[in-house]
Parts: sequence; structure tokens; C-alpha cells
Amino acid sequence: MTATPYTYRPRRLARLVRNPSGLIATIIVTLFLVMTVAGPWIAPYDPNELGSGTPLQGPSAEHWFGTDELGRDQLSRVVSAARVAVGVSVISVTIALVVGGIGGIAAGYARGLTDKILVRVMDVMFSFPTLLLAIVIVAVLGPGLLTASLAIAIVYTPRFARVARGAALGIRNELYIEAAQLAGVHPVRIARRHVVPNIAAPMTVLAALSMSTAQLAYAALSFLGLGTLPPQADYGSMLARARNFMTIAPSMVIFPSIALVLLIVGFNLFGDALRDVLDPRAQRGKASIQGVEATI
Amino acid sequence: MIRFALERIIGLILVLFAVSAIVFGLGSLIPGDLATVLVGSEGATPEQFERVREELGLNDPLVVQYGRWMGGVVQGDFGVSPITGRSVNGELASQVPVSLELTILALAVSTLIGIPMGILAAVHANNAWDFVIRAALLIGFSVPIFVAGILLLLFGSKYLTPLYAASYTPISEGIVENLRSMVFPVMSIAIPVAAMTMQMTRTSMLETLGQHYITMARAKGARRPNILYIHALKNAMSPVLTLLGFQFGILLGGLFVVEAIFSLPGVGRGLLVAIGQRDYPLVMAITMVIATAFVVVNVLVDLLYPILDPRQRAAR
Repeated sequence: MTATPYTYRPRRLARLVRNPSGLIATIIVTLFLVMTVAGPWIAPYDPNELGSGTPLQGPSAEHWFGTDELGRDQLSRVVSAARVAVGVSVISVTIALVVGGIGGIAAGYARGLTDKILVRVMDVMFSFPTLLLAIVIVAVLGPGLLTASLAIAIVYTPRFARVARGAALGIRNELYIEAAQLAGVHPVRIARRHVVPNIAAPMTVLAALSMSTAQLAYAALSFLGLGTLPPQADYGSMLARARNFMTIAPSMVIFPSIALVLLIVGFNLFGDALRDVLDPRAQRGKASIQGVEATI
Repeated sequence: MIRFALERIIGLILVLFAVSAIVFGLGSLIPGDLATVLVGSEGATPEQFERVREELGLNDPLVVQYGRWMGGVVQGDFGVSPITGRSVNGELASQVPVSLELTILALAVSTLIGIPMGILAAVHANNAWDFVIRAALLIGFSVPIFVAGILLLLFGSKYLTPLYAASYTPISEGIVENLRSMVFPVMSIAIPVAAMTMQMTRTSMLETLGQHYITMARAKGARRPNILYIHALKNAMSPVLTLLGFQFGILLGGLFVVEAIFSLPGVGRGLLVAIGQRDYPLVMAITMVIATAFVVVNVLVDLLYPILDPRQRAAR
């Protein structure tokens, strides 16, 4: 075996796009990001304007995805809903990542009472099925985009805390940490300089994989009427309404479904590709509950 | 082993107490006072409010209220719903069997699909089928349960009419009709769960097939089906079993959307209706029942694991 010269190694981003599923993921995610950022300029009509066309029409040249029961343009609504969908996934996963990460590092690094309390709290939070806890939290906070994101963030925090804690526990006895401690470096600085870079890869992978499951959870909340408030378009709530008209206008069901599934497929493939790049040791073939758990 | 079991059971009881405190805490945080709901906002005098609050014990400190509620729960009594006037136990008795049947059937179906498909996927891991298998898994993980449900309803009610029932029929009114009303709901929930079983079976089988004793079996000339189903499968199953607790959570979460789509009178729909009506005792009872079921199943899986897999006993 010969050592590969470092310069020949493709850059990480290039490696992400190099394998076919990574490429597909990048295309899908980019598509949704464009819709998120530039939605209002892409959409042919105002997504909330009543009577843009005749109600409950199938696809046509004027309305590619047809119209809903109030004559709103479905294509514009599908584009507009992308902002909500991507926004919720990003916001909830970011909150969970930051809060869970800090909590997990603190517990794993400090040990003692902090650690014991954190582990107990996590145990109790893991005792609720994800969607049940999210529903009850939204019932307390009231439905809406921010409260639903917050509910998902709360439900997801323990997973990040667990991974961060495990990683922090794994490196707290390393010599370089001990050296830093002996040199009198402040614990917060040690955590920032030495612990965070070490756990960045697994946390990023978990975050990427959580995007799809967070989206699944949010779509369910929205479907149950606990997400964004009308008239804002949102895949879950669009499908909940479409249910009443689906025999007359199947396009009301089909297009939001395709968009939602496509987004989740994109997040899933992106997470897998990112894992292959950032964490080559965690082989996809390894049968571990951790791996499956991250995909749920 | 017995010590391990005892530890887990004591842990279970402690966790359930913590869960009950959270459930009660969240239940009392839901906006809108029960007295307001009952008396109604128009034309009620403050005295009427006060009387209702006093009758319901809402003026007592939260800890006392929790103690009173928990005292009942420990004895299996969830109190009376102030909205319907019926006992919460009665509501649970009518809702739980529906959801339980749905969960068990979905688990059975997903296992019956997932394990054979997983074995097939492991056998075809490196040929042209691999792409199809991966695509199927990806779809299984990416289609939300409610999307599967709606699409089944849309196309199934047209093209699969023998399997479609417009409304729920209890078992007592005929098993065939009852099962008919369960087909689509069960299929919707079973998809993601089957995908999980399939993926875990596939990876676990692949890992097992790479072991030395499999090479040994092959070398001594054992027949291929024997190697697959006798030597490999038994050892490959224990990671799949650990998944069960997790899958149970997905199944329970799926109840909410599936029961809403197919109008099944189970706990999932019951909880949403109760939240809508601010029927707190019922909200707390259903949340408690679902969380308890989830925790108990997870502990059972933990206890079953070393019994079924001797390799795990030494570690304990």
C-alpha cells in the first residue's frame, strides 16, 4: 500500500458532489433553498390571492399545478411552503444542536452532579414518543410556526446532548486536554478550543440526518393543524385541506405530496452523503442502533 | 440477570413518576382554565367561577392537585371528564383497544415485510438489485405516514375497493369488517417501520455473513439456504430486536395522523379531540397511557435481549 499524497485528495465539498446520490441531494436541496430565498420572485401568482383562477382545476398552462378550493394557484403555494418547511427544519435543528451540544459537553466534561442530572433528564425525555411530546408542547404553547419549531427543537435536544456527551467523555482523558488543564486554561476555553472541534463531525452528521426527521415531524404537526396559521401555505396543512377535495381535484393532493417527499428525500440523501464525507469510520454497513436512530 | 432485571424495573418506576409529573405539569400549563371552559365566558359571575374552581379543587396548590391526580392514577382511576361527564377510564376502555389493534397489526405486517426483504437485500447487496433496494429504502424513510395514508385513500378507494372501508367497525361487529377497516391504516404506518426493519436486517445480515464461522460453514460445504437461514439469520436478529423499542415510538406517533385520516376512534384522535375541547383529565390520561406503553415496551425489550441472545448475558 502506498500513501496517497495529501494534495491528490479531493476537497471535501467536491467529494460530496462526486458520488451520484450526493449530487442528487445537492440538486434537490439547492432547488429548495432557491425556492426559500427567491420564492416570491419565482412564484407566478400571489400564493394567498383568492381567485387567481377557477377553483379546483387540474394542471393547465396558466396554473401548472392546478388551483385549490379557493382558486389559489397551487404552484405558487408549493413554492411559498418551501420557505416554511426549510425554515422549520433549520431553526429547530439549530436550536437542538446548540442547546444539546452545550449541555452535552458540559455534562461529559464536568462529570459529577451536572452529568447525573442531565442523564436523568434525557432518560425522562426519551420516555415520550417524539410526536406525542411535540403535540403536547404545542398544545401548551399554542399552534404556530415558531412554537412548532420550538417543540421539535425541545424534542430533538436530548439526541444532540447524548452524542455530544459521549464524544466529550471519550476525549476528556486525552493528554492534550490534561496538558491544557495543567497549564491553567479556563474550562470554557478548553471546551471551545479542544472539545468542540473534536465533536464537530459527528454533530454535523447528526444535524444533517435530523433535518429530514424534523421535517417529517413538522409536516405531521402541520397536517394535524398545529403548524403555521392560515393563510400561509404549508405542505402539511395543504394536504389536510386537500383531503376534503381529493376526489374532485387529485392534483391538490399530488403536488404538495411530491414536493414534501422530494424535500425529505433530499435531506436524507444529503445527510448520508455528508456522513460518508465527514465520518468515514462510521460505515454505512455498520449495524448500530445509533445509525438507525439518526435516520428516524 | 435477576439483579439486572430488578434494576431496570426500579428504574422504570422512577422514570414513570417523572413522566407523570411532566404530564401533569404540561397538562396544567395548557392555556385556558377548566372553570372558564365549563362556565363559559358570557354572563358568568365571579362567584360562579369561584364555586366551580372550588368544586374542581383548582384553588389547591399544584402539588396537592398532583397528589390527588396521582393517587387516582396509581389505583388505575383517571377521574371524570368535566366536559363529557363520563369517566376517563370509560373513554380509555373504548379508545385503547382500537389503537392497540392498529399498533400490533402494523408491527406484525412491518416485521413480515421487513425481515424477508432485508434478507433479500443482503443477498443482493452487490448486484443490480442493490439500486432498487436502496431506492425502496429511501422512499420508505422519506414518505410521511400521512402522505402514504392520503395517497392510499385517494387511489385505494378507487382501485382497491375490496380492501377499503369507509368507516371503522369494532371487532364485536364482525372480524372481517373490522380487519377491512384496518387494512389501509395499518399499511400507512407499516411503511416506515418496515423500512427500518429491512435496513437493520440487511446491515446486520451483511455483517454476520462476513464472520469467520460463515466462511467455515461454507468451507465444510453447508448448503447456501442453511448458511443463510440457520447459521446467519439467528445471529443477525438481535440488533433487529433492539430496534423494536424505537419502532414502537414511531408506531405510536403514527397513530395521531392515521387515526385522523381514517376516522378511527383510538387514542391518537382522542388526544387531539381532548386538546381541542380542553378536556385536561383526558389529555393527561391519554398522554400518560401512551408514554407508559412506550417505556414499558422499551424495558421489556431490554429484558428480552439477554434472554434471546446469550452473548449479551456475560456483558450484564
